[in-house]
Amino acid sequence: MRFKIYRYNPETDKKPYMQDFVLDNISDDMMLRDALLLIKAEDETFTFRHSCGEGVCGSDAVNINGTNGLACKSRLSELKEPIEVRPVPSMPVIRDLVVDMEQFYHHYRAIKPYLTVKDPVPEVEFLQTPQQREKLDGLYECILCGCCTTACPSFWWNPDKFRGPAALLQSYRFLADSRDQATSERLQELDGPYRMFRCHSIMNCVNVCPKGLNPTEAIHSIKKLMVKDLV
Amino acid sequence: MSLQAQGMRAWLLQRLTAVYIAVYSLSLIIWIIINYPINYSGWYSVFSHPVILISTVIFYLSLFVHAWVGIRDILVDYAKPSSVRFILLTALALFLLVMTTWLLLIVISLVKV
Amino acid sequence: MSIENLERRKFDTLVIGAGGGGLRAALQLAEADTHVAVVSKVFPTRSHTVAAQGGMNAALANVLPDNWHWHMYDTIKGSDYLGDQDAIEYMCRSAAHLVYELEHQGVPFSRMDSGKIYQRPFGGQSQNFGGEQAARTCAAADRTGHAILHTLYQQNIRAKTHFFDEYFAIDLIKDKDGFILGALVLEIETGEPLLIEAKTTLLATGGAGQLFRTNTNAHINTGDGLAMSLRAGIPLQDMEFFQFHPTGIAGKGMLITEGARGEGGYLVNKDGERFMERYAPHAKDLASRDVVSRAIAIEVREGRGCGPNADHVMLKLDHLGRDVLYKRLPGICDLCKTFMHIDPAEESIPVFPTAHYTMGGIPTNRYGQVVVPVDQGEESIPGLYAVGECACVSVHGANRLGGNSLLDIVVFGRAAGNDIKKYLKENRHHRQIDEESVEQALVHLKRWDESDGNGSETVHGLRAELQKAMEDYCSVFRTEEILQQGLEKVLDLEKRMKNVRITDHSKVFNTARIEAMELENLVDLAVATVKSALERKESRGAHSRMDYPDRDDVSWLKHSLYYKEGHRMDYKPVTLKPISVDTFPPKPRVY
Repeated sequence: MRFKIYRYNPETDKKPYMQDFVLDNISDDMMLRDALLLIKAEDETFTFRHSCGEGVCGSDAVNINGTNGLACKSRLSELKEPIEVRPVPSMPVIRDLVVDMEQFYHHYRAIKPYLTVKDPVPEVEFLQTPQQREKLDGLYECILCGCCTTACPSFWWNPDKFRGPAALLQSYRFLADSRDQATSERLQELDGPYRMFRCHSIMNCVNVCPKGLNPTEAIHSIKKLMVKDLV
Repeated sequence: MSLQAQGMRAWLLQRLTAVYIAVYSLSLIIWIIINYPINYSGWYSVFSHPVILISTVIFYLSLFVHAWVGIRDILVDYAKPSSVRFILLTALALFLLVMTTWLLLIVISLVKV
Repeated sequence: MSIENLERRKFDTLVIGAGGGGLRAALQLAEADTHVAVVSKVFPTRSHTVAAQGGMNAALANVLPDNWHWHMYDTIKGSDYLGDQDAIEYMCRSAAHLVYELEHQGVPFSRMDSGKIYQRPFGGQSQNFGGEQAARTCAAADRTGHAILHTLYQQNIRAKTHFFDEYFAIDLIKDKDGFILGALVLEIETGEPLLIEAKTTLLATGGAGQLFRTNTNAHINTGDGLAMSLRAGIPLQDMEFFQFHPTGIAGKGMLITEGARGEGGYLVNKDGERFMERYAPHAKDLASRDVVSRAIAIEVREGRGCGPNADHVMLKLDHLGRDVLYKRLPGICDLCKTFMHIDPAEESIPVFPTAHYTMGGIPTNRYGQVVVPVDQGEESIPGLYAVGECACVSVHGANRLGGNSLLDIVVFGRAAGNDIKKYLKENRHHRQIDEESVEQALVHLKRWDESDGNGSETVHGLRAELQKAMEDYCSVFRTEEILQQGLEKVLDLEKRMKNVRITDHSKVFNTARIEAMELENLVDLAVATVKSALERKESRGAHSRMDYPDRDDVSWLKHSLYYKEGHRMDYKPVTLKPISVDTFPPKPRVY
């Protein structure tokens, strides 16, 4: 199986280049991460992030044949050869497939991603009906891999100001939580031309999310809440 | 409307004006189809009617607001250097202002007669 | 990098590891305005707590009657009486409070119609001291670890904890009086070392599942904190007890939560027989993990395994119905589809016991203080704490109950945080740093700059050999002969470590160097594990000796301690006296 891998080491390379690899012992049930590990065994200078290997830690987001995804959840037999692997777009490359995610994390922290309760808390759990809890499904599962945000053209144009789909999805995770009491603060924070309203429903985020989440829908839900807040 | 309307208010204005523009345009098209062919006096009498006149003025104002918000959105995305963006936005504002003035002049001429 | 221009930072507390244990401790400290730094070799939400599925035990009695005494009994029985009963009492008593606290912090627990937290049955749980099955495991679908880890990280953002993301801890810094003064760490992105001086250091680096070839663990689980402790002269406790989870996906290792059996799934052999009824007539598929793992291994060994090679058994879930499966176990369904092309609502899942959890670890007491034997008693090492999978309190003894590890990390994370606050009140000033110890750590790091021709081994090659050796010689069933061979093998690997060279000497994000240091850690831990296993001549919990098939409370109701120096063993008594209730005396263990 043929691979074209993006390589760049700032200490030795003037500019990035694509390197070809051929792997023979590829079995039908192998994932891209397995192939990257085989390449790493051949050439230990090859650098990429990975950890759990089952799509829950969110370390190994890469661009595969032009589409963002997790290496550990991408089955090799379903990919077109040569498999072209690049770092996720629009982020500064540190080395090979490793990018600097600070901008992404900054936006995540900025939406105040924590439950805010103003009333005194009960001595037992808050009561929450299964229906109220169901509203968090499709939101809380986010693994912060960054596939969505780095696939979003609105984020490419305004990476410093647009919060991006991942952070906005998380914002709605708290807005949708029956226990959270900071709705108006959260909505206020997202108002203005950039933070949320750069979203033009391009829906790249939905296409690439390895967990099957829908940030665009979450953003629409936030807008609905804002309209409700306004009237 | 304020030039500053941004975020939620701009988004809402964009949608409200879009709805009005759609409703007005559709009504106009249907009226034209029903009454085709229409001669000059037909056009004149209809657009002199106060209700039609006012809704037409609202239509044009909506169109200008819609254009302002929409084009500004595009410029925010694509016109990166703030100087370029400022020049383009100023040009757009001037253009829309001229159009509004022209609209008002037409209205005045209609009302006088 | 020389010691003179080494960058130095000072904090009250250095937390190494940003899983649930480290983050819970950091939160406790940050909320008390302690100057706390968290060092993690990955971004915090990538820590392996994120992969915990089934849930967290607490006797809330939301579904079935329950109280913490029953939880305590089950945990002690589950530990095969090797757990320290004072620590177990403390953990089980605190459990409910800590679950409520996590709920208040935002964990999206699944709910019952009453609005209360949903609890599912899990292995080894009983009502009324060994009676009917209990339902004690608080769950957020099958993503409880993810929900808890993200929530704890979020709370730390709120508390403005200082994070050093993607920094690798190399060695503890220790002075002549035995105080731990912080650690030398490596910024992975730049390759620059950094000395973090701290009045207290908390190790929360997780387990060492990467010791075994097939494991449920992440690539990062290389037991770094355990090995750092060994190098600092601290022994490791009960390392022979390594948990094999009954239901890892056969051949691949991905974990299928015990919650799958808690929700009503069961295991069958090639004849379609529900074989657990023979091994544990009462608890059946929800017996303790060691019991179920051994049963599966026996079925396969006696030729009743499934598949063309008869090398696994099947976990049957399809009778639960699609609705229940996708509501209660959505992550498992996704996992099976992605990695096996199997829909659990229609087909059974091939499973086999898979290396999962390090019961042993850095010896601590229930305050999280690291303790070592001194004369007849034991003393804490000033300034050093450990919590979570890297620590051995010991609440898990010879076998951990499912749902107790998420509990362990938050209970003892918080306890250690509280004790550190006390320590900091009594020790207001940084001690003079011991430059010799820093120098030693720098030498350790510099070792990987060597590029002379003597190197004949690669990191990748040696790691593969190590993992294979551990699987062959230190697996579910053990004998004197096999362990002896295993010890020779890992000692040989330990010797060959000095021949390992890396070819990548660049500074920026050098993962080859990180993996080399992780391999050093794994080799030390492999020796610790095999040596401890060889010495313990009885069967208890996860340590199953075919040549000594019975538990021997007369000679072996004691904790092992392994020292790196001279591969020496020592032992210390099990704490059988709880804090406030009566001792649960060792009894034969049947499920």
